[in-house]
Amino acid sequence: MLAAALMNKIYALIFSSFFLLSGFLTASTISTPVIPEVLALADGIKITGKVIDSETKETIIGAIVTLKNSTTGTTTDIDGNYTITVPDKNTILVFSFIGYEPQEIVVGDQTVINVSLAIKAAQLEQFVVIGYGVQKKVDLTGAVSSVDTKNMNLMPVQSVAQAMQGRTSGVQIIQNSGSPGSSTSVNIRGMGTINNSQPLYVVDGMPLEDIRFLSMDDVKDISVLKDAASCAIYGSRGANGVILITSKRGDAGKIKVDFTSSFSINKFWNTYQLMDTTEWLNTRALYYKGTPYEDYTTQFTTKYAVNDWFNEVTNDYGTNQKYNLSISGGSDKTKYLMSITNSSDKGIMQKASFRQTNFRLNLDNNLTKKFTLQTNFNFANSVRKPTFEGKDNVFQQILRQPPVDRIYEALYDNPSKPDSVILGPSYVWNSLYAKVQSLENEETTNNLTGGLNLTYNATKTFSLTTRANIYVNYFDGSYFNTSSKSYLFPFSSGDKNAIAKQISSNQTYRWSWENIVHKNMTLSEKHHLDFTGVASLEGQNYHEATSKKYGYISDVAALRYLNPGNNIDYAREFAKNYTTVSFVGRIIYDYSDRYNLQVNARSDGSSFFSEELRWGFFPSVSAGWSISNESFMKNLGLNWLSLLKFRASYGMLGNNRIEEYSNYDLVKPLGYYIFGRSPVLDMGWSMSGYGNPNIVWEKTSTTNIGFDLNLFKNRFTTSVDFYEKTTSDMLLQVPLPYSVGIGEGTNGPWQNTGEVKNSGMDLSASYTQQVGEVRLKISGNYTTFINKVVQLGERNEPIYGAKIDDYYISNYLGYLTYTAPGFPIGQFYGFKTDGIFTTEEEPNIRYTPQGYNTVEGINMPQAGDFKFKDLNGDGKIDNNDMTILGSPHPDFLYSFTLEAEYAGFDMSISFQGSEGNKIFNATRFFTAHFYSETDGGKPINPLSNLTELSWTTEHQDRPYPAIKPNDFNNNYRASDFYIEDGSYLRLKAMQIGYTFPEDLISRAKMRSLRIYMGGYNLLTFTKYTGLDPEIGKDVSNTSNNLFFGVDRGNYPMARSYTFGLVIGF
Amino acid sequence: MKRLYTTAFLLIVLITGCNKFLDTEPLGGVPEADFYKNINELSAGAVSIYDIWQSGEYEQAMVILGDLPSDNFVWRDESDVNAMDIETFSTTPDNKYVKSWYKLNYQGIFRANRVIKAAPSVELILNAGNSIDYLRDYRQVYGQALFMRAFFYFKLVQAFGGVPIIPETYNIGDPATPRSSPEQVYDYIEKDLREAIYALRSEISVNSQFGQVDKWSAAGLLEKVLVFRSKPGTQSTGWDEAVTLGDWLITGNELTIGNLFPDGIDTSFYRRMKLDDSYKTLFSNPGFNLNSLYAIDGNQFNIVNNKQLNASFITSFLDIDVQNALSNTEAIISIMHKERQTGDNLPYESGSILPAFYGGYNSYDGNCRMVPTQSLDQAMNADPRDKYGCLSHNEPLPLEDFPDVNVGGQNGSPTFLVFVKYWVISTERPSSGSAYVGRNTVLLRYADVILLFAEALNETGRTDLAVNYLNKVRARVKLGAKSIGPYEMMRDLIWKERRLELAGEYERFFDLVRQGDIYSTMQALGTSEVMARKKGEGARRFIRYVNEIYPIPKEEIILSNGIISQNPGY
Repeated sequence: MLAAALMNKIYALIFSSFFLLSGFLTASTISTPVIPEVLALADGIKITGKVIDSETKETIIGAIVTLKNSTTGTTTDIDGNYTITVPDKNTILVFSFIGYEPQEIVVGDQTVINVSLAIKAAQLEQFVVIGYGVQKKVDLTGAVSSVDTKNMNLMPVQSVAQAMQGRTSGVQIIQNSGSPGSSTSVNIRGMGTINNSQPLYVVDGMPLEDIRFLSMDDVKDISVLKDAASCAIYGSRGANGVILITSKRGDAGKIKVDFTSSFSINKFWNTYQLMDTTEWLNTRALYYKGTPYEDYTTQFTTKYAVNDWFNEVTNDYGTNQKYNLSISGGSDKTKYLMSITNSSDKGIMQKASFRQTNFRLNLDNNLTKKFTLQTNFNFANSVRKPTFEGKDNVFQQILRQPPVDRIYEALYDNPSKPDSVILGPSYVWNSLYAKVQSLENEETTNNLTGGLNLTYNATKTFSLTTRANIYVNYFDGSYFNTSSKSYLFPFSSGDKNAIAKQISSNQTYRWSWENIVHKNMTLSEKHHLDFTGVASLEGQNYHEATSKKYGYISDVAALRYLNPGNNIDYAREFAKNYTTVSFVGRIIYDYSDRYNLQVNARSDGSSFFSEELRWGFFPSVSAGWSISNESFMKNLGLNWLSLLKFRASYGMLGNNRIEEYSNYDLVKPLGYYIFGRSPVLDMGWSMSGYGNPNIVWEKTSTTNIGFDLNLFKNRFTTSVDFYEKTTSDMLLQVPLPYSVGIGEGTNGPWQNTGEVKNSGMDLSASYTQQVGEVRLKISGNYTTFINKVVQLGERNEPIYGAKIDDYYISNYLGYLTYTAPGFPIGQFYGFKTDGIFTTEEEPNIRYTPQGYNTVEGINMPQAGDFKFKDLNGDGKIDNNDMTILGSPHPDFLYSFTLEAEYAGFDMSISFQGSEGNKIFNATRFFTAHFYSETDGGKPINPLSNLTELSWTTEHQDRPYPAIKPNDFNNNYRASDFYIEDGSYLRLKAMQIGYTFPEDLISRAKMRSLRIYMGGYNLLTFTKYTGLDPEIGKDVSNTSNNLFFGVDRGNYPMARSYTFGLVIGF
Repeated sequence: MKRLYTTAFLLIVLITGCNKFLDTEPLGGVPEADFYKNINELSAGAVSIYDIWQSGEYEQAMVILGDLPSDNFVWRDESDVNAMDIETFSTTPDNKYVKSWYKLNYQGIFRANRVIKAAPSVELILNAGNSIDYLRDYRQVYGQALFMRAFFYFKLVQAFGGVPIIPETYNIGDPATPRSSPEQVYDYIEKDLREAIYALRSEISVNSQFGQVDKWSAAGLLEKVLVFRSKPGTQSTGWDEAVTLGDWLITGNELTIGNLFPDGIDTSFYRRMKLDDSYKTLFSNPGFNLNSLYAIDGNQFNIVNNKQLNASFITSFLDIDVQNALSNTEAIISIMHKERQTGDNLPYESGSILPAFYGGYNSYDGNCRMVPTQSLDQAMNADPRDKYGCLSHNEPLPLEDFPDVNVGGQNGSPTFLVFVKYWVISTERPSSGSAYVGRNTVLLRYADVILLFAEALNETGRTDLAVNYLNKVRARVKLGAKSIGPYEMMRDLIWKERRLELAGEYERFFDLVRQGDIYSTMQALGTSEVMARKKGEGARRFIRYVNEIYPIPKEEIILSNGIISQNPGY
């Protein structure tokens, strides 16, 4: 009811906004845009001259020469010459060219005016969005990266976070899954904590955890605040960095209409080469060689065999379509921007798709001379149809489906005669094709974000702002299990209980209210002081309800609701909330363009902590020295040096991102038992663990030292930062002895114990150069960090993580990562192999009979088994021989982009890469391993080259263990067999566009027109053998840092080809 | 100055206001201090204790630890190294079943402790209409928690020897608790059970409470505890008390408060049981007022249920699945598993002992994991119970064909025996969901208690009575009566009967340990077994004074910072 009422409100709001907007549209006069006209005057002074590049001394073709405050003008010819007639001596000529600083010259007595234009010092002009304001880039004291958002909206990706990949230094962005609409892992300067290390997003002043609702088309600026001093103003929960996003707003002037449209085709760039039926049967024969099972090979019918399950459940290609229409404009009083985005993504996997529609309305009103009101409003609706993800994800299932399992048609042809049965009757129903086809899941999200921002400009330098933001997110998941069985034989089985419907909805309501005081003081010519004070309140309520019914008489679409279900399986509801209060003060002091100082202090209170302990105080300070502006430097006459600035900062921030109510001993529903003569399920209540009333804020302090160096009139710019980030009082769920009685792992009470250190360097650089008529730009980012756990709990007990929640695999592999002091977070963990036993005797020599803890002579390893290293030399292979096998963290990340422009054509090529990280390729359990029905598990479908790589007595040099049924050695336990180099270099994006000349399109009443084509993930250089080397976190728990870089059959990135068009009116 | 005051005042108001704003009520859970305020809440606390029982993890560990390292069973699933280690006495401290057993029993204790801690402070609103029922309900809930705690500790002391006793007052700030001696643990168990006997109902008459433990359960378990802590062939009060208790349980003699609390009652007992102060003296006074609001059954305990040995073991054992919501009449304590009326399993209920015997979780895949030894088969050969114990794959199941036991692979060569006591015939299985639910897991049977009583009688010199009770068990499966013999002979007869009667009921290993027989039994097993691993291997690996108990899980030693010590030899 509540949800319905709120939805009604949302609809009403949308409706009224449109109403409002149409009012603006009628009010504004739509007139033809003014195009500079080239006219010659009859009388006056004739001026000639040449325009050249000040640096290269090359002529500039097409430079514009106009009379100031007039539309009269001309352009330079192919030799850079121009001729213009001016009315009198007082005329001012304006020389301009794209990318250059315009120059104004008073004609005077001259008749020949030669001009050399300088390339625009873009860097110096650039403003960077910082918390509660903007700052000139040169005045920055902390580590802030401004993301180049140019053309980001044209990439065929769904989320803003994904589009940022490779565009800034110090940030690691990995899509957790290539599945349309899935989540992204973002780490700024490494994983600061074992808990949630995702950065905080601040969109138009609203702090958020998830920005999937946002359309890239609506984004104007993105800043990444990396050090504590910069994040300080957004401090609470900003300990892992802040990504600050500002949306586009209207400009005063004529109405502008912009339209972008793109169409992409997505394909797999890499597929599995799995065994076909013949290969599989031959391998099976090899596997069972010498056992009674060997003969059964002949009984397999190949009649219904499928050769390639991969093909059966994938489409030939996926498509991605994106449209954005934005209308903006306004007057001095009112400015508006309205934008509609629609994007749809049909995945490469069958039944997977994503569609999102965004509406945005941003308004700026000058209510009176002193009051201004800013309004932002965004509504997003998305519908996601997921395929199997996380546990039992579809790629893993492909590998678990032997090619001899037949597809549904075969059964449907003749259901009465299931002549298989070799693999047991259960496999008949396990056709992956049927399973995928029977998927009827739909996840709908409705999201409303809005903000009101009222400013009172008391004087030119003093303002008061009050800002209210809301974020309402409704998620509705609808899951209908038809079961593959009923897909095959609609209701012939009569198994009504196999059909079930689950709905799962949740609602997040978050609000914030901030009051901001801002005072800008110019004490004298040289002293500038800027003070900002903020008081903010923030709260969130989360509510979740899930219910399931089963027993349907039919699975037709009309009945896929809860009502027709006969029996209730469960109905659950759950809620949580939190509140935060912050007081922040910031002083920025500039002295004479040379010295900058910034001091922040904040006090945060959080409901996550007990009353006496809930306030944290976090100060920070940063300073900058522009040495190049010092007079002694200027006197040196270093013309090539444009800017040299040193920056240093230190600051501390808090993090409270843990479970709500962790400070309470809470009794909750826990467990069930059946009582009664007619079975009734009784619900139990108990504590599942202890709370800890003594927990306080987790603290992250960052020391940052950096410099900016610009050379050759700012054509070369570089920014380098070195940092050390230490998270102390880390909030950790400390395991207690089992005898305390709260079980394992997640039930331990939260404690402030543990320390993680990240240190590293961020570098970004760019170089711009004009070569003839070609403008070139090269830019690049380089990021390196070292992650190290210093302390973990009072006892420094290691934490094990990444247990794959699949019954069969987890039995073999167990925990895959190990986190302990002295090592980075989430190291891969297991046994080391040392080749393969080649004789039956060797194991006996190598290990004592007890070594394998099983019976001598029977369960000793055999020839063809892995030699696991006995690291502690006790003659036994046991858990004490497990060791660290590699790190999921890269040594460094890098990206570089080449851009070129020539006569309306533009081209950009971006590469992006990661070096030195390892991947735990858990899919090798299926792809590099053969087992069949007798082992208790389900048969699998390995890679077709498995037999060539597997050890045999004839080929003793092959790297994989022998193909055989008895695995006493437990060959496929977690070991370096699964560890692969995850380094890659990827041609991430390539785009070629053409912008039509203005004079051409002006005839069609257009302001701008650009067509482009692009390719994404075109090339990938990697040694990784899985489908894709970009492996993030577990899609089902993205805040789990201990599950990083484990490939469990992840949905790979697609290769895309895009065609698009951008029109402005 | 005035402005300063105003500012300061406003700041104070602001800060206090903010603090209020930051006080969020926990949603979806209740702080412990505010919970357990009435019987319903206390009772919900008790349900969560039972929940520990019904998980698959608990029940499988119970079977594997209790039956596998013995002369009764062989493990066939070679992919399960943990089970094979237990079978061959090669258990290491990181064994997953050992860990499950240790961890889950303590989880049960934790949940029981919550109830036991809160119970005394529950305020009962008494009035003329509800008083007696109200008190009985209260004591029933409290008694269940006491019983369950004792049960979990008993399982722990059997498997690990002395373990840490975690009092209900434990808090997270407290240091790790070191291990107590086995005797201390047994004392603790006994105290809980004696109080549970007092507190629990003598008959579960309310339909919706069916399945809860009662006075019977507590008395039956106490009988077992007394026997297990006593040494065969050595006189002790344990044997005497087992006889007194058995006399009451089985013979129907009276039991007085004095019998139940031979060491007296501590003062907190009165408060915990919600007994009026005036009854402190009444316990020693035979003139106990039965009509009192505060009393339950007076100072003399009568068991209202009249358990009997069923004439036919066959039907009585097979009807333990509870499609008709009836428990086996012989079962004293069962873990309840039930099906929906539709045949589907109820949600959240996943447990069963069956996967330990018959393979994977979702189907009877014919790959039996735990199968009888030839030794057990031979011992049962002439016994009517054999068809419910060991079947070679070609033998028909008595009540129905065995079409879906696909033993020994596809070509049907008989390679091993099948233990069929728990086999659920295909027509009785749920149509969907896990194939294993719907059959209760019996934790204590009447026949078990009778044999324990017979043993106690024999130990205390009443051999004539002992043989009587032994023959009761035999008669019901139509076996001839044994005649009276000397102590040692009687003892061996009772022990042999235990093996056959209770085969596959997850206590053979603990029985062998208790009887001091395990080393020689495993030695004797050696030569005759087909399964090579069993052939002498178990005995060869068995180390006296080490393998009688399991290792404490590795993590426990680490997490307690070494305060909890490992068992010798591991």
